[in-house]
Parts: sequence; structure tokens; C-alpha cells
Amino acid sequence: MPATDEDIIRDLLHRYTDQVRPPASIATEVVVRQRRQDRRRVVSLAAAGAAVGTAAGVIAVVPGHSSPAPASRTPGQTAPAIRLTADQRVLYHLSSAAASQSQGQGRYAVMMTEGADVKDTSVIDSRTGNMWSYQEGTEGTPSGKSFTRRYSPTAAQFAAMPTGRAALRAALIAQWHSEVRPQPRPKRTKGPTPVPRPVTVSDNDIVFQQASAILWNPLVSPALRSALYKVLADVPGVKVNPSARDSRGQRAVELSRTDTSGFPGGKSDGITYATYESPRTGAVLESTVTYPPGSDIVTPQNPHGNGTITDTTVYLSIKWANSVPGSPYGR
Amino acid sequence: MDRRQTRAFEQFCAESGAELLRIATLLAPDPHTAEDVYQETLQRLAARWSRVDNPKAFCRRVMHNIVVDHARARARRPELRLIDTREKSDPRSADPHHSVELWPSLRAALDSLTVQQRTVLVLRYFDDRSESEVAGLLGISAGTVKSTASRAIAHLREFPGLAALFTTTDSMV
Repeated sequence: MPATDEDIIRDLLHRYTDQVRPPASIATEVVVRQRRQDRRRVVSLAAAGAAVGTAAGVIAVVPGHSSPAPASRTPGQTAPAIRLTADQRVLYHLSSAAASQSQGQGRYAVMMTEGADVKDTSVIDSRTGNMWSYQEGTEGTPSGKSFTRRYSPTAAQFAAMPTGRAALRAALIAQWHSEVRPQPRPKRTKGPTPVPRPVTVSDNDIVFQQASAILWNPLVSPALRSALYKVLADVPGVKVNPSARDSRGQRAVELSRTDTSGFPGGKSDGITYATYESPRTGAVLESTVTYPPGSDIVTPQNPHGNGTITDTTVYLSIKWANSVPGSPYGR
Repeated sequence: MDRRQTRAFEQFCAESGAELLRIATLLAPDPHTAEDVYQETLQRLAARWSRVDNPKAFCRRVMHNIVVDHARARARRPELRLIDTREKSDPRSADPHHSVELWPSLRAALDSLTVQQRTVLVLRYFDDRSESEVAGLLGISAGTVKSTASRAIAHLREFPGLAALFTTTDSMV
């Protein structure tokens, strides 16, 4: 029998909550959401700075770069004929479609997306890169909101990125290295620290991942989006399906590529990145990442991480506003 | 968050999730909000996972901040409270050892406390944090923790439906 008021309070609080158990899906959804955000956030502010440096000509040599990169020539010299493959023609068509679009007007981009179990509305400040995110959960996945400071490069930082193919490719690689190289310091409270193993990632893997991590961003200018498609046209291993459909049945151009590296020693990690683009506007309609079996990716549908997992983000709409709107989901 | 970090994060959630949700349940006005608070806390933790040395302390502080934010939002824009249908299927209802008739009174009593009183009460008597630990977590003095806890208990002692539970002597606050 509790003896003091404090004991009574203690007993009451414990008994009141002793059956409370969190649904496992919450932690899993948090991880999935974080991974999706991490992937979209590949380009950091520091990286955007690196890109500007690259634009100034810091990197002039593009290793592994294949035709149709422009060759330097003297004034008056006739440009050599460039023969594009069918896939490259599709990508150049996307590039033209993207270039013909106008930049959204307003300070805040309001982007609605849909994942496996949640709908998200992200509000990105074009001046600061800060992001407010509202989530509409489903059964077992609560609604929620979050705020992330400097989630995205600003519109001005994107605008400062180079749009020449060679310079942009070099900038994407430089961005990746500036993002990935710093290793987080090991935590003191989480048991023995595993010995880090060197991971080799090829430049072509980097370019495809970086480009697909930028294309969705509504702060990207039409000129940059247009240039990104031209850079992708030069990346070996990109599969182009011009008559694809996204998961909502819309006509789309599917660009996909399976990593050729990613594991220590340069072995492929087998992860396939794909984006579905609108052939009319060059906008991203959907993106997927498919992880092969054994990649330890845990989702509500794959609780043990031993199956093939496709993580899908559907881009439902992008609107612009001059103030931060509240949650469209009513909470 | 790489694979190693993901595994460590999921392990933390498996080990500490129930305790964190219990704290959220006591801090939040209803179970739905508690789950929201819990998820938002985990989301903030996941975003900073590689930089957080003490995840539990981080979560407690974040939960308090989120609950304060929610309370301010409710004060600005009072909302209609729906009847919580989960209470009817609450697993506690089937347990004869639990005085389920107490829970509405306890919930109402907790709701009638200030956010600070409620947080101090939960951290001191549910989470068994010392006065100095609570002071550190909430950014207030240990003396304020002591006086706040004392006022909160005094309030609960007088609350209809709970008053009969309390002894009338030997308060150690």
C-alpha cells in the first residue's frame, strides 16, 4: 500500500500507463521517412557552395565523361555532328520541356507527396531552405509535423549552380564528396564501435543519384533542371523507358539505373534508382528506390529486411504561397 | 541515416519506445496526441541521431517542448474535443486489478495542471528523475522543481475523484 502522497502519485502514473505499448510501425515509419528525407536532402548548403566553386572552373576535367560532351574549338570552326542515341534524344526532349517551364512565383513551395502509408505536405522556404512538413498518417501511423532548418539549398543557391554539362557533372560529384566524406563521430553509449570499411562509389553512380536527388526539388530553376537531363544523357547505364506509366497511370518517361558500386571494393550494392518524369513538362511525377533482398531495409511491409523493397514517393502537386500554410490534414 | 545508424535507432526505439510513449501519454491531453508527440519526438531524434549523445534525455526535453507547443496552440485556438473511442477498448478495462474508474479522474486532474506542473510531476514520479535532473532537463532551478511538484501534488490531493486516495499526513515534498 503506498505510504506517501508521492508514492500514491507514482503508483497511479505507472498503473495508468502500464499497458501502453507503441505500435512498431511508428518507429519504422520514422526510419522510412527519415531515409526519404535524407535522400532528398543529398544536396546540402555546403554542397551548393561547392557547386558554385566548381562553376567558376575549379574542376575542368570530367573523368569517365563520354560524348556528346562539347569539344573545345576555335571561333569559326564548324561544330562536329553529334549523333544522339534514342535514349539520349528522349532525355534531350525532357531537357527542352523542362527549359520551357517558368519558375514558380512565391516565397514558399508547397509540395504534396504520397508514400507507402503516408501523405506529406512539405513547405520549403525558397529564401532559407527551411522546411515545414505535415504528415497525414494512416492506421498505425499517426499524423505529425516537423520543422527542419536548412533542409534544402535556397533558390538562389540552385540558381548559382552551373548549367554546362561538364561543369554540372563535376559539381554533382564534388557535392557528393563534400556531403559523404565527413563521417559522424561514433556514439559513446551504443556499444562497441564497428570498424569502418571503405566504400567505393563510382562517379557515374554519384551523378545519377545526385541528379535524381535534385530533380524533384521545386526550388530548382528550369535551366538547371534542363541541364540535369542533359547530364543524365551522358551517364552510362541509364535505362530510358519513354512509354512508361507512373503509379497513378499517367504517361511518363522512366529513367532508372542500378548502382554499379556501393559496397567495399567497388562491388554493386544492387540498389536501383528510378524517376518518372512528365514528358510534357519535365517535372518529376514519382521516384522509387528499389533495394535488393538482404539490404537490411526495414519497412512495415518487410519487417525483417530480407525481401526486395521499393520505396516510392509520388509527387502529387506543387503550389506556391507567400506565407506558410497550416496543415492541410486538419491537425 | 546509414544502415548502421538505422539499426541502432531501431534498437533504441525497441528498448525505450514503450517508456517514451508512456511519458507522452502522461504529458499529452489524449492518446492520439500522445502518439503524435511520440512520433514527432522520434522524427526529431532520427534527424539528429548522429549528433545526439544521450537519446533518452534528448527525447524527454523534446517531448516537453512539443507538449508546450501544443498547449500554446490549443490556447490560441481551442478545439472541440471528440469522445475518445479508444478508451472503450483500452486493455486496462479488462484488468480487474486496475481501478479503471479512476482513469477519467486522473486524466482530468492531469489536464487541470499547468504544463510545467504536469511535466515536473511525470519526470519526478513516473520517470524517477531527481530534482536536479528535472531542473537540468527543463532549464529551471531545482528549487522551482521542488515547489512546482509540491503544488501539483497539493492540487491532485484536492481533485474530485482522487482526493480519497491520498493520505492526509506524511507528505514528503
